[in-house]
Amino acid sequence: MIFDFSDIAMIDSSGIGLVLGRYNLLKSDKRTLLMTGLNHVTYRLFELTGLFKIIPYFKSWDDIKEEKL
Amino acid sequence: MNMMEVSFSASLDNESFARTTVAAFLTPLNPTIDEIIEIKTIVSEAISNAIIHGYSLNPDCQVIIKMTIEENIMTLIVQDFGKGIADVEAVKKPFYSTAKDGEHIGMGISIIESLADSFEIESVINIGTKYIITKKLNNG
Repeated sequence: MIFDFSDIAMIDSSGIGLVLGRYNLLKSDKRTLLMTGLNHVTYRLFELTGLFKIIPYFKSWDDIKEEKL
Repeated sequence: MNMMEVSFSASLDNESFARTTVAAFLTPLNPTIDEIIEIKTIVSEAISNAIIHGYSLNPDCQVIIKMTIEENIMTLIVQDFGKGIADVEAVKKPFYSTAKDGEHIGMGISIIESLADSFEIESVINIGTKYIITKKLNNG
């Protein structure tokens, strides 16, 4: 599953919590979650929470395609 | 100096109103898009903490926002008259949350600290809690 945040201007801790919840749901189903499309501020917040350690981030859909995922 | 004060029911439906009101008040300072996003995020975190933790989602209670702008420095106060915080130092720790479900990550206060220039919490049990946040807008 890929979360594309390109149309999302802002996110708060409840939104990040929702992403974490979906990650845990997918993990229990042996599925992968990826993210793309964060702006400067939302990227910093995900970085602060450490979620990039468990959820791969790609700057664009082209980068995802290059990974052949 | 310019100032404003609004109060509204402690309902999460009012988060959007709070964000928009704060952003509108800052408009004369010509904030950048990133500054607007940062401040709206701060407001979201502060408001949701007041509503969820201060008032346990009771919409009969009131949340108050006060703002002042002096030159290009914004001071934002978010206040509730709810249950208060027993250990302010504990709640400041990342990933601390009194909420029991898996989607509350306990990062609200860390996010405010990261985005604000200064952040203080004043709280008294059963009296209420006040978040005092300052941020300088650098748009020049």
